[in-house]
Amino acid sequence: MRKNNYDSILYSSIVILIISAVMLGITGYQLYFGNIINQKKTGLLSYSTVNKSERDSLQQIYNSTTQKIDANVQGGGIILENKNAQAMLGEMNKLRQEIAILLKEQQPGADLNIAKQKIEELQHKLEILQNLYTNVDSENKRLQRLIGQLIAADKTNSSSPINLSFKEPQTTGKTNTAVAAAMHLYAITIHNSTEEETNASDEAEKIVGSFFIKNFPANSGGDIHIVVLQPDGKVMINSAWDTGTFNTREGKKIYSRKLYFEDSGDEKPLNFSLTPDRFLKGDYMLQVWYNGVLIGKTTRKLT
Amino acid sequence: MNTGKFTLLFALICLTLVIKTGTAFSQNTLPLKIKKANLYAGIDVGSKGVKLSIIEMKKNAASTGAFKSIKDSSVNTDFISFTPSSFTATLNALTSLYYVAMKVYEINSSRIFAVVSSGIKGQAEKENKNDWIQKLADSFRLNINEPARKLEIIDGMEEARLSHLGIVPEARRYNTFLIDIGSGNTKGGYFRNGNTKTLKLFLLNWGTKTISNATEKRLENDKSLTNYNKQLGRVLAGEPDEEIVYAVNESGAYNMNDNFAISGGIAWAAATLLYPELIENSVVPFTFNDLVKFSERLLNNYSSLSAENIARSIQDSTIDKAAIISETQRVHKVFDQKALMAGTGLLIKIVRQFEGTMEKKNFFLVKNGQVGWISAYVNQNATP
Repeated sequence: MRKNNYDSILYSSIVILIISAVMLGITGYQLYFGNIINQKKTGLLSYSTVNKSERDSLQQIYNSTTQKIDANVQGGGIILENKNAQAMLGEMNKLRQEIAILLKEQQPGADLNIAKQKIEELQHKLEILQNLYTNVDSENKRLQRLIGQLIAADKTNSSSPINLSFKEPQTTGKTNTAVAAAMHLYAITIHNSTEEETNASDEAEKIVGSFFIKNFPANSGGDIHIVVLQPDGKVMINSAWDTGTFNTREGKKIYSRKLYFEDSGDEKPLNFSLTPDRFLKGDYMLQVWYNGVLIGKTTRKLT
Repeated sequence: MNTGKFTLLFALICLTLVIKTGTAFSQNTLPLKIKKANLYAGIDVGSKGVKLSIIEMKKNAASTGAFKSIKDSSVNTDFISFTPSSFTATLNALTSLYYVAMKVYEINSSRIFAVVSSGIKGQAEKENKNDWIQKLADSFRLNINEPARKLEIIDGMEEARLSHLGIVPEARRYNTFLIDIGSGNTKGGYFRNGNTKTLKLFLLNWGTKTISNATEKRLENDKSLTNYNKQLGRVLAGEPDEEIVYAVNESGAYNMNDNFAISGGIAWAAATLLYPELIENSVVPFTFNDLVKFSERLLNNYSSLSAENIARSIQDSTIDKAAIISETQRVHKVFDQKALMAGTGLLIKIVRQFEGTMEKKNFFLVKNGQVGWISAYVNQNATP
């Protein structure tokens, strides 16, 4: 009888244990997979939220940039008389239209990255335009001062010569209106001794860039510093012999390659290629610097 | 216990220690990005000691001159005293460093190169001790159990030739003058007429230490920095100046070269302090004006060259500040303020000879010149 009691207690305990284990398993399963499903849902929601907020923030930046452009154009009639500025404004208007179209697209998957790049390009062109305006404006003021001096000298009939020399800023020595245009950056792979363009980082064997220099000070020459930034933010270096540092307003920077450019009147493209040890996935940015000022940039994505 | 057994026992003890610490070495000294397949080792038995250099050969090393010095260590053994104890010490060091390369850095025997330097050869010939070199080579082969192991003797000219081939990339090979500023002398050369068999040699009997010693001798009771600078100027304007002008003219290097690359300890120190942003580069370009400003900074604003101040001046967040601090501290351990001033003074004297007003020359500081010969030796001897 006693033995029977023990047996029944033992069996009951085993059954309870098994049931507990099964229930624990079910709870664990629900917890684990439930979380994943929830995470996926949350992920989808946050993606769309992020996408919308990114679009809104880009729209804001775009609006503020276009307002600045309009203010510059309306506020400075001088600019419109300048051929370089006119050409620049034409390019900027084209960019404005492209960005506006990109930002209007409501369907998911519209490439906001392209819109972002184009806005950056627009902002850069605005910087150059402002620089150009400042130069034109300061040159105008200098000439007015000079005329004032001449009139005064004429009135006093002074025999002492007026000093007509004009001191250039010590930092650059040249007015910086140079712009890098038609910039291209692409990766190359070699198939059967033939070079082909590629977007795949694991196929890339070298990176090639080309651009034109416009508005370079006439009959002069100078070093153009090329910086290729890798996705990890580091400067791409081909050989230590080709690299070095240069000074900018933001401090010392490392260049990937230095090219000497001489204005000969002809428009010739400047080309370069770099062969790093490995290519990372992500965005590569080409920056072109002259006289410590960024005169152009473009990006390229490798997958 | 005879010498052979002692050597073997010593080597085994060293090997055990090396293997015991090997794991830590492999984890700590080999960053993940270093590919073991590209590692090579060079062991150089010199007059004063045995030196091991581990280098990583980069892709297209011959065309870009891209190799990286991973580890550079030496053991003082004084082989040229030709005593049984110096022989044993040299053999032990040679054997141990060979096993360090093989076991710690996991470099295959076919990628480990060992040579005997020209200094030993010259001294052995002078003292009629050539058989000591032969005995060293035989004992080494026995210790590592490799009967076919080569232990080549390279002379001074060959070392300079290999350094040029190893350091200077193919594209600049025939227009680059390589100058190595050592502690006791300065030597270098360039290849003429597309021929890499012989180097047009350049030799000065002045180095960083000899300039520094000559300056110290003139100080008398006034040991101040101002007096050191004044006397340094006088030393440099004397014999070294005459010798430099003569040697440069005799070499014909100015007309034949566009690039002037300077290696040696002072080149490494100046490159590290002047261009900390380029910490990862084995070669950095410089201008004569930068060098003059650096010299003024050494005298008037030395504290700005401390490891902390240099690291603080770096704005780019992608640059490894810890590496800059460590390398700058290493420079300050090797050279004090006066030694840096002496070395830079000599550097300026030499570079001034090539700083043309009509023709623009390119100047480079080479940081790892001491291991340059290995990469050329590897290229020359390595089997694909």
